[in-house]
Amino acid sequence: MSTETFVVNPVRLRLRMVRDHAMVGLCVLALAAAVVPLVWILWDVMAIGAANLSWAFLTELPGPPTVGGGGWANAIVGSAVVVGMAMLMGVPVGVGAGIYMSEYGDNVLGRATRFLSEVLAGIPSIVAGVVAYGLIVVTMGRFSAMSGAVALAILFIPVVAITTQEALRLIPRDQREASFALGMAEAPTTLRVVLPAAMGNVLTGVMIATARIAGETAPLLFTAFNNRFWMEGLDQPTATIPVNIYAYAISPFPEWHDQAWAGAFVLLAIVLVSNVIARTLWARRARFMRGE
Amino acid sequence: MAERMTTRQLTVRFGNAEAVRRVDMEIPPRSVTAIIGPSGCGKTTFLRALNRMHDFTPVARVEGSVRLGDREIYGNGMNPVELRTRVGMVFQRPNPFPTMSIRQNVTYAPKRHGLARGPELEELVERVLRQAALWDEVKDRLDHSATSLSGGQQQRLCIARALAVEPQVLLMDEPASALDPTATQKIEDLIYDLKQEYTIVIVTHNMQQAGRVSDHTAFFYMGHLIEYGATDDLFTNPRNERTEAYITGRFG
Ligand SMILES: Nc1ncnc2c1ncn2[C@@H]1O[C@H](COP(=O)(O)OP(=O)(O)O)[C@@H](O)[C@H]1O
Ligand SMILES: [Mg+2]
Repeated sequence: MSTETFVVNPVRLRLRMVRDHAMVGLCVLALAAAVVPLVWILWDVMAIGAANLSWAFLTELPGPPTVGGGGWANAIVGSAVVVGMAMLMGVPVGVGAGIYMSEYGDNVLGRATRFLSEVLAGIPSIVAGVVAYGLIVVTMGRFSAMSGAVALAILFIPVVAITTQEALRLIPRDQREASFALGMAEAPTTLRVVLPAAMGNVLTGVMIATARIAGETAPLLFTAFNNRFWMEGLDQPTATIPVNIYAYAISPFPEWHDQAWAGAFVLLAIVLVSNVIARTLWARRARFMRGE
Repeated sequence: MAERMTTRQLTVRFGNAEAVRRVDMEIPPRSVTAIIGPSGCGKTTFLRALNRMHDFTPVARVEGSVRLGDREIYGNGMNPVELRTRVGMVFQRPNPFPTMSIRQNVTYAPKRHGLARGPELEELVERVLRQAALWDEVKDRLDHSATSLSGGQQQRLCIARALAVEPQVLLMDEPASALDPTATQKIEDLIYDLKQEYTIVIVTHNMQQAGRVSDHTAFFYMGHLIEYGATDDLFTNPRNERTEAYITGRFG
């Protein structure tokens, strides 16, 4: 045992405390810089959007420009269809790619998939629109809901693939080994042990990716395009909420500006409500897994 | 049902490092064989070679022979997935499946192996939970999450889960090291009961435990099997000086 004692230099201690407080202060400032504009935008959309919302807006087709009135029913349905189809294509492919990268991806193909996912997750969304335009719109000779869905799926898949991969990697190795030691092969182990344990985080990835594509405008401008009437089929152009917001917001008509606010409100509400529903449904399962 | 396991010149390498070196060992059926030795001497590595768990470690290389009965487990005739239904394993840390209920933890593998279904499956659940001395504690909450159990209960559930695939050999890697004395006592009693029907190999760093539960004891040191014999002999009359030094607590 040494007999030295530590004497804390009071000046240095003070200095350290000052530094400590300064750092905390900076963090709070940074937080405020991030949160204040966000809350402001949310508040504006909520307040102005709600003020312009009406039953007609949710249930009717658009009226003639100068007359006003009418609604966005076709765009609300259009968005649901385009985003829904993008998810239908994107969830299996994205989750599948994530499973591959995490569980079987320790090889060239795995590394290539990972690289591709990261690149794709970073491309500007309009590029996805260009790809879908070239692949589908040009081939079919017209704009369509389907081509819009493909454009959104291109944006959706890499995000889901990466979050799924990360979610699976968080599952400890002993869970996999427990299953192998019972004579279970790799496929059932992945599907029945690893994926269910990671489902909470996979779901979060899907929700984030969905929220992202639900608000995308650029990739839909020359794929799903627009439509003043009900969509007549998946191979026909359709209105969507974001494209409508864009078109109405830059129009010269004040009543259209009001409707753009209402449209933004509806978009936000759909994203928030579906998030809350997914989380509530998941919460029961999560409580079970925690043993409560 | 219990089977003998035999290793011949069993060597396991991780890259260039030899963790188990040329081990010849015969593990008799219907008995408990304890593996003791200082930490890092290769106990876990040896155990995992017996059900081919090293298949999942890319850097691991296994050489030599391991036989289950008269079948070579590293030979062409043995599917490793099938092998693991015959040679079960209980891990150091209890690892029940958290997404599954107590019942589902037990039925997960036998259901998919087609061992039982319907009412048979229910009987199987009760039988193995009784064997694992857990039935009375969980019979009213079979549909609760496995994570709602205490650590000791979870470990007994893992034992029940392993028994449910009707293995011939049960490998246990320090199954009580994460548990309190009461839970440890239960696991030890359980091992004693199970040896009537199974071949049991248990790794332990606790020599009192080896003395209490095992019929044979193997002392490993730096990857070598130094001494192997009847537990009473080995503890009262060790033939090798390193064994003696270890069991008298002079190192390890
Ligand atoms: N996956 C692995 N990769 C590399 N080395 C390992 C691995 N597992 C174990 N080892 C090494 O093998 C030796 C034996 O380890 P182990 O069998 O776990 O010892 P014990 O169970 O007796 O404490 C140790 O030196 C350990 O570092
Ligand atoms: Mg060990």
